[in-house]
Amino acid sequence: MIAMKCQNCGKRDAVVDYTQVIDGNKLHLHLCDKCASEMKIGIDFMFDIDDVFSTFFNGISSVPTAQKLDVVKCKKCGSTYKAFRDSGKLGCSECYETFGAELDNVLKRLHGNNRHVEDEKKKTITKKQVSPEEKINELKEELKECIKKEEYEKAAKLRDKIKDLENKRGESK
Amino acid sequence: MSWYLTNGPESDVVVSTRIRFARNIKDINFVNKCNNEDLESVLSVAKEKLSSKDLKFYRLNDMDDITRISLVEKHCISPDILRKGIDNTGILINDDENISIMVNEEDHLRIQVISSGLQLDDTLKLACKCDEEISKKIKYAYNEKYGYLTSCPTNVGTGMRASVMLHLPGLTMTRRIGKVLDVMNKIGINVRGIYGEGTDSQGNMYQISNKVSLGLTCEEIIQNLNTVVEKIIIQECNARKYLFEKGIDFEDRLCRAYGILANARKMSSKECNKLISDVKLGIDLGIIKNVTPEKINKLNIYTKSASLQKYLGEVLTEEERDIKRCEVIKNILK
Repeated sequence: MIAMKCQNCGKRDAVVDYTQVIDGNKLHLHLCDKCASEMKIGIDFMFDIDDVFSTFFNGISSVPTAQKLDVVKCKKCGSTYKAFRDSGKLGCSECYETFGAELDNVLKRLHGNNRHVEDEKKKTITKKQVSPEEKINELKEELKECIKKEEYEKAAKLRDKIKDLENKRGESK
Repeated sequence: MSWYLTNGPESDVVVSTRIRFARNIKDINFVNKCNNEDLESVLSVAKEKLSSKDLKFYRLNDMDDITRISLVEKHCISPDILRKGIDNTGILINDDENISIMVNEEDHLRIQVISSGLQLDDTLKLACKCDEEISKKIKYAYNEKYGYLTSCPTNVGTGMRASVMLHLPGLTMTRRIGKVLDVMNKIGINVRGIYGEGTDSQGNMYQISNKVSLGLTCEEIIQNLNTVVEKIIIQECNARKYLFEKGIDFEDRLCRAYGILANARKMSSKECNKLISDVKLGIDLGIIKNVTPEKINKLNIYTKSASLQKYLGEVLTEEERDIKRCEVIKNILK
């Protein structure tokens, strides 16, 4: 049998079959002894990266609830809670809603917090951005698009929204 | 000029400052749940809406291997993006290479601004400006409760990672580095190798960054990091002073390093990193006088395997690289 060469140095025979998972990225490598020891890859190392993330889940739920949770599925992307626990990654924005309650605990452990604090400066910018005038203009643009695409139902809704905003603006003036 | 050739504030200890924002596009699944079509549409949004005369778009699979690795060596892209496969990935980058946006790495967009020396405030300002410009063209995945939504919950909230690259030979040689790193871990600061997560420290370089991205504002996060960095600078300078005053052996070591660096005929990248670290220390302490810090910056980048080949415009084997490396060093030190 021809031995596989080390994927790092390409010279010596590979003797270590190594899998690394960092934040859900799996990396398979066949390495020789020398490269493996240089990269500090040993038996111990093979366990710790997965473990680090999973410790954030420990003690959050009792086992039966955890099992129930595992099958909870995100409606938008189809990710399960188990997939999240295993990979440490969420599949889409909706996952944040779907797994909200459990995620709050995970976030608390990761960050010491589970709510975002907006920068004061940014807040003023976003507020400015959604001034009634701009919002109305934005909706009007959207309305034009809808008419172009012949999406009349959506257009009617938009028209009502614009009217509503224009009325409100009139009142506040 | 490219950021990596210039000297910033506190450059004797702080090599560079980097701010990175993780951002995703609204209504598109995160990268790990994207099909090819989704990934391609992210790429075309990035290309059409974000590229300009100053910020050019490239697909990573259109580049050759050496160019890609040299981008890692210059910290413009992460080694992770190469590891996980480069199909459907891209980068937007300016000429000075201080602003770059990775497309389809772990998140749709990773906006990064990098400066030389310790410049957390200014780097954050520039990064926020870029982020704001982009947010006018692309709708981000954001909600009030969790802030910017990211694929990995370790980045959610501000989506910000602020990191500072430190040259800490004093603390390493006096064996105090372990304690310093230990303390940092306890106060919410990550310590990583020079190319980020999962990489080793080389040439006494350490990268430290914030762990927490949620529940604090960007300003608060960098203030905390700044305080820690200032404390480390003081410790490092104390350690250097101690070594310097200890006697001629230390000075001898640094001068010998210069001798080898300037005269060797064949050198591995690992040895080169060690020697550059010693010579840089010698310059910063005023022991080595005939080399400018700018030359060290050049050595630091052009002796790295891929950048060396890029600089020479040749594809080289490992052995050839080790020989050419010495020629390049000699040329720079001339």
